[in-house]
Amino acid sequence: MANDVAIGIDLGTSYSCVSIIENGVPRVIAGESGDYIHASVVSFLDDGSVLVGNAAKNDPSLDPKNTIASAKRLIGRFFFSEEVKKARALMPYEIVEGPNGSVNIRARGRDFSLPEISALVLKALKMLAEDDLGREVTDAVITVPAFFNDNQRQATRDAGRIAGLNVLRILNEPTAAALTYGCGQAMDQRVAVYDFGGGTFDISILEIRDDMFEVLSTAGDTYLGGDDLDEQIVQWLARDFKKRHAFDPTNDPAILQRLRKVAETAKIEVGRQGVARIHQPAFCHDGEGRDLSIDATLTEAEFNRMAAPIIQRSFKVCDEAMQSAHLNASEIDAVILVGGPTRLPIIRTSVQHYFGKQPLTSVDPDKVVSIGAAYQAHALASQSGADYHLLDVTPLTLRIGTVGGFCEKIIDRNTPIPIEQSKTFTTSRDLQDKVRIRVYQGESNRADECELLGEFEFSGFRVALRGEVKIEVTFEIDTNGIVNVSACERATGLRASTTIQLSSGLSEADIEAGRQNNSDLPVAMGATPNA
Amino acid sequence: MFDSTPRDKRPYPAVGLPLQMHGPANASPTRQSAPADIDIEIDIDLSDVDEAVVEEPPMVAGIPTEILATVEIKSASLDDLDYFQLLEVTPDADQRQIRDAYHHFSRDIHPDRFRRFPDEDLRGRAGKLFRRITEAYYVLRDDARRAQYSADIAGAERANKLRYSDESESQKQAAKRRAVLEQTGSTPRGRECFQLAQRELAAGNKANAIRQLKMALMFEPQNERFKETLREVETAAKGG
Repeated sequence: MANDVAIGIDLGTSYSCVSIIENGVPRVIAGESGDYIHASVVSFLDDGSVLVGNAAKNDPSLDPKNTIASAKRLIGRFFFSEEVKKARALMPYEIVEGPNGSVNIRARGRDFSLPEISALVLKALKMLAEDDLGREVTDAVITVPAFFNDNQRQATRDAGRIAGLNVLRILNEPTAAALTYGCGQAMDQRVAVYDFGGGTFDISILEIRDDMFEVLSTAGDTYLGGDDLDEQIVQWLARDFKKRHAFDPTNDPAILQRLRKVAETAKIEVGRQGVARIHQPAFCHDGEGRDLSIDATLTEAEFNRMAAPIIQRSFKVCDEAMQSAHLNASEIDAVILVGGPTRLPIIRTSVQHYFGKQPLTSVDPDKVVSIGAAYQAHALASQSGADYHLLDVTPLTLRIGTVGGFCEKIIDRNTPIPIEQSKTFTTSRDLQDKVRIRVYQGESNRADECELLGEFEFSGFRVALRGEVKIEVTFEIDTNGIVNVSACERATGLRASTTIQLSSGLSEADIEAGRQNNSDLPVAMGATPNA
Repeated sequence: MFDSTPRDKRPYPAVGLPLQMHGPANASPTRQSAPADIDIEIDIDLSDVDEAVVEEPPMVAGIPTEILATVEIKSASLDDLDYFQLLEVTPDADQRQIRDAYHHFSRDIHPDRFRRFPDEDLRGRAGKLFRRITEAYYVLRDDARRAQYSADIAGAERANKLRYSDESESQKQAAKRRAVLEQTGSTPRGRECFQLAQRELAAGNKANAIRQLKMALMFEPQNERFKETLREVETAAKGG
């Protein structure tokens, strides 16, 4: 009996969501307390078990040092990257260097790779779906920001495998949203998907013609999201706090973490009601144990003043995508909003202003991605195949390193995928038996300004005088947007063996070990109502 | 539903595949259920396909044999086809026809469709063919790339230019950028002096113009346009 139940998972920076298609109708799977979105937060408890979701985010008694939030900001990154440096300064949990320059998180004396952390969120979502459906679920589509590079995509796929999932596809979030919008409708439209998430921003321009969903271009900023709006409010509150109490709450990571939660709540409130009153008489204590209060009123005007420059950055990215698609705003037929922050009136008005039309409000910006993922999962798992076809693009230019710290273009960004390109290399020394190539992604021709995907070493080809052996290296980007590199000797067509070095990714053995640990760890998705 | 290449116009037979392709020997044991059923179905369909109107096209593992034939034939000659032949459009096809051809092949041979296809070798070839079709679309949908490509394959080196190379494009772009910069100068001071020289020239002050051009060449000794202009003005100054 074929296992044709497949789920769609939106694995977000702040919140995650899981959906399924039943008899052609999508359904978002709710948790015990009826919530559809679950905080992507993992808390390691002192009894050795793990708490995931809204309970892990909102229970103030949990130890902030062992409670991991926003892991998506770190997944697939190198330890020495800017984002990791920033996170080490801001996050209350311990971030340490892992093997090959990767990032580990230390909790209760144990080191976890980032895919292992995300795998705990995925495991909780898998369990949620299994409880709801009363059967085992393994097939899944997991979404990522369209602008995610190869390292981040591979790490996300590894996370799925560690959680015991068969990852049918790594799907771009905006593409998933477009699928939700256009699925089953006979339409001929150009659509912009404006995806302002918790930690990342993506814009994708698609053309939907009946069953064809073709991405024309995509652009993004993996450092731009709702967290940045929260951070503005945190700084605003901290300034006031310092003035009144002569005490800087941002110096203590645990207090800062709570201040962030206060800021997030205030942001949502100001979006809903136009004003947020923030009043906590005993927010924290000073050195002598005295209660220090937070007391502030955030007006919409004040909030908009803080938010405007951040939101403005998203339109620079939109310009880029529109240019790549050779379109101007008036040629867009519909604008789809994705991500919780797009509920804010300031974002809605700005988007409307930019595209000159009212964005669609018919789809829930929190659920739209996971529903699209479920459609794609359903299509890939079903025997009969899909009634619609997704044609996506690669978001970043693929490059190889050359001499002097430069790198040259192999596959341009916004090239439709799957695609492949070959390049021939000639041996430069007599009896050379290895060829090494560094592969990068990015928009600069300077290697240090691009993201290193890995160093590939090819060997096992004919050994001869220099210049006699030609090695053809093929760079393939598959439908997941993941890069595969292989090589063969041109004259004989014999495949060279490939080993990957300098990569932050996990080995097969790491994944197997992670999978074992993951299935041993007792995970619960508690149901504490949002504070 | 628009299909730019009607099936009856495609030059491939609907049947005639090597039989071992869907024989159990090549069938992968994973996931696929009951290949034996498929064989029987095909045997029946094959006898009917020439004459009768067949409601369901003959299939192997859910893929019409006509599509499999396309994959067989196209992938065998993959390196001999230009992008127009690959997409089955004429060299003067408009953007819409090119897109529709790409969409047509996306429906037929996208890797998602071949995901469960038991014959690993044919699955691999379908994948390679689709990547090449995507490449064809990528090049032909862009006017500049298409013009370059069309010129390349019309030339003597056609056999070596069937795949578009970005290298020639980037070299060309670099040359173009250099040319543009040479027109006006590639350094701020060089540009400034050259503009002043042109103003002096317009006002008829050849001596001043020569001085400014020499200055411009101090900042950009390699600039051909500066050198050229200086030569012209010097000749004119001597003659006048």
